[in-house]
Amino acid sequence: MGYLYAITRDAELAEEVYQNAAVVIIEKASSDEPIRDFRAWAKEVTRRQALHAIRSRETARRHGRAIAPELLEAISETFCEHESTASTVQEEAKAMQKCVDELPQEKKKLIAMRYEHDATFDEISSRVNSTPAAIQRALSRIRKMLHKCTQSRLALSEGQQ
Amino acid sequence: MSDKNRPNPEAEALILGHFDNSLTERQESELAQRLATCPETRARFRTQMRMEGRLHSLGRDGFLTSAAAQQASAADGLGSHVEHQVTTVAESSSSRRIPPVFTSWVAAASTILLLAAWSLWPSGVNAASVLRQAHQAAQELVDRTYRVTLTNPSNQALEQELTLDIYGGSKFVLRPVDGSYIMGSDGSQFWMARPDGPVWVTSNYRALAPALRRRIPNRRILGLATSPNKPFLLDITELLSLIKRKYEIELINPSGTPEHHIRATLRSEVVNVPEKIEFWTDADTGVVIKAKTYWPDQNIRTLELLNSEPLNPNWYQYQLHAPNAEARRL
Repeated sequence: MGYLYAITRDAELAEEVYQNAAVVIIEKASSDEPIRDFRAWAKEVTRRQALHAIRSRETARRHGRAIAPELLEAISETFCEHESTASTVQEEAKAMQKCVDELPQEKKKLIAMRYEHDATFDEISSRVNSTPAAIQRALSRIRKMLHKCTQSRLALSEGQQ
Repeated sequence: MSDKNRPNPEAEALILGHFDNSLTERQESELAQRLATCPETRARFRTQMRMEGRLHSLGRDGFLTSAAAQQASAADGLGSHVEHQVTTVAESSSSRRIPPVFTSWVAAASTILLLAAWSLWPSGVNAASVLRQAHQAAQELVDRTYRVTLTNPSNQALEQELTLDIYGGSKFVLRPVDGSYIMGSDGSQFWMARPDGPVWVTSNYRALAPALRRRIPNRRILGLATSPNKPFLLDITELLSLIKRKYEIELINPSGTPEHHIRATLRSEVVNVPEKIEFWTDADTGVVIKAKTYWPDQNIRTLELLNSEPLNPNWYQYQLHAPNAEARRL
């Protein structure tokens, strides 16, 4: 999902592509045709589905400007070379969840407005009586905090093992 | 990621800017170049990518707001405790100076004023508060049984009646009255069984419908179990979360009635969700008594609360419903 959001920057579209890709993967995976590297193949299916969805949905109309093609390509390559194991990713998810839980109330509210209600910086700023730029900066800081906290937790649990 | 491998702050700002959709064309090119040439930037991008995905997932499932609300209520509870202590201290010190008769009179007058204000003050009920209360009630860890009816004014052949048992928003059992199948979730995995057949089990709900469609060609028998229209919208919790995210809501009936009636209309066109949703809640408990979803294909799904009686603790596990069936993982 993260990859899909990275290239669509649209939660609804990302969800839709995810579902479509899952259907294709499940249907093709159980056919008689052998698949040598399932992981790489599934990633490629997801990438193609996403690119197709982006083109067909005119994201430029919704977001003002479509993502630069070279960036789209670079993100896809970054995604496809990713080799983390499922357990590592799961550990990371758990660590991040704890970090989210520990966020102070007002920071958590900002995160909820942004990620749960898909509110824009303009909308959030009018709700909390601030400016869009200040909200963007605040959310950037929170995400950096979450990243740092998650990495620290992971390093700590690695050290304990 | 160790400090020496951490990308520089400019790269990090570009990554976050990308997810905020705020980069200029030039900045996008710069980020693309950094991703192509710098392994640390790629690693940081991947971490951020996963984080953004998880935050959206948590948001989609309503966990960010509920966590914030829990924290707020805990803080409120703490605040009121502290306030109570402060008030007690203030009362004990002031009571030494003010005669008891006077304080009693002030207390009585305050009570009368409060009662008058209470009766004149407009009730705090609005569509958002009803939705919030319904969401909390749907997450309570109790068994609730609903009758589900599927109707379509232009095609009576599609009509179906089912029973749905829900526990706390994550466990459910769904049974058509004709007994053609039974499906459910024990909170961690989803399962589906037909009489004299195996039990299909998966931890990924999205895998269930397409896999069943392929294995059991007669889709009409399965009906909702393989519906592309998210059968999970039968789950009250998910339905309310969806309303919160994508619908405009209005409170239809005036306050003071025993039930609250909410109408939810889709804000913008979205596939695979109802165009309109209506639900009715118990004004005291917030429990959804009835819900109707109106789909673009004219299908109407209605849920009506039958009872809230406790079920067998193992009710949501497939072993109880298909004890001799072979379990096959999807």
